[in-house]
Amino acid sequence: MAKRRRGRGRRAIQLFFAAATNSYVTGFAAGSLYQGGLKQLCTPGLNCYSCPGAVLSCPIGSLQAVIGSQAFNISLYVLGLITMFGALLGRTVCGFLCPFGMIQEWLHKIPFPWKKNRFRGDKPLRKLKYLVLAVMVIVLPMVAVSESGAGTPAFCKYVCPAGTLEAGIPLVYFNSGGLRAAPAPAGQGGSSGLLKSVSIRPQAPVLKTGALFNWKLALLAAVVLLSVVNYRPFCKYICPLGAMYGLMNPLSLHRLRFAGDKCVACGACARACGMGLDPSKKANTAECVRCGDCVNACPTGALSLGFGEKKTPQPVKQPLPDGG
Amino acid sequence: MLLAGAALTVGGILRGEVAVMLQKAVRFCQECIGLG
Repeated sequence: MAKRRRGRGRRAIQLFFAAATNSYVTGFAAGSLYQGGLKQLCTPGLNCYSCPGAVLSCPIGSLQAVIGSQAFNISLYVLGLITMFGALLGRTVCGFLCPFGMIQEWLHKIPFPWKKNRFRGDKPLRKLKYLVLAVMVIVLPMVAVSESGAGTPAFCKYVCPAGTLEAGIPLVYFNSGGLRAAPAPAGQGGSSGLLKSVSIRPQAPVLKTGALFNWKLALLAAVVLLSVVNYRPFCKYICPLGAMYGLMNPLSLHRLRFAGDKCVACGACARACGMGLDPSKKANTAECVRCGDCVNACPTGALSLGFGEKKTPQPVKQPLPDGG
Repeated sequence: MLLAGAALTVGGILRGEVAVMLQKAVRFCQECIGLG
């Protein structure tokens, strides 16, 4: 009963945080963005600042914006905030405070006969997120500079499905009162794209969609479909923010605590883990999003989530009975 | 690590990074969402 309550508690936190960080309702209705002072702060999770409801900034978008600016090569501010979030919570952010992680979890609840969380190539594929972080978030915004001198926010532009879902689609659809395609300007439209040119309001910018947006829609569709089959595939393989928090996960103050003396080695925790980990062998790896499913599955209370380390003795091997 | 993060954050604020970040975050960044 208490375990079920704990699971519901996490879902309530996820929902509350997603709603709170996207609480600018006017933005959805008026096709505008929140422009208040709160946007000087970054949200811990991945949440696009171009989402009409967003009241905080996305750390990955902000990092690229500052790196791509002419004034700075790197953002001490955003890296500092991420370091503080990571030091305090590690990937607990992913499990509790990331709206896109929550959406993937919901999708994974859709019944499907072929759920697959472990497959050959899974481990090396998880390294991809570090490459995405290095290349798309840091190097390309630094070196791929436009004529105006601004760096390209490569991750947001070419990859981020959270931005497509939270910002691209709402801005194109909702603000136009549905889909109201305007005639594409000469030389800028054709018939190949899903959407072409959409005017959201007379005074609002005209959003032109084309091959790039279609690519991002396809990527989002792939993440949605994969999420049904695999638990949090974007978090496992792509997310650069998860990569950064992952590096800090073994050291963060909030952590998964394992009491070896209570462990009966039943394997329930490993079976419950959607991320494909075995917390009884190694807790707090870079991949653990601290969702607490293992804590809920453990029959002896050997696992818990909390701040600080509980010092516990290692499991004592029981001597085998004679002749056993 | 927490202190290092705080120091970096303060350093960034003093360098004026927040204004640069805010400039991008409060405008329609079509490029950021794959529209531009």
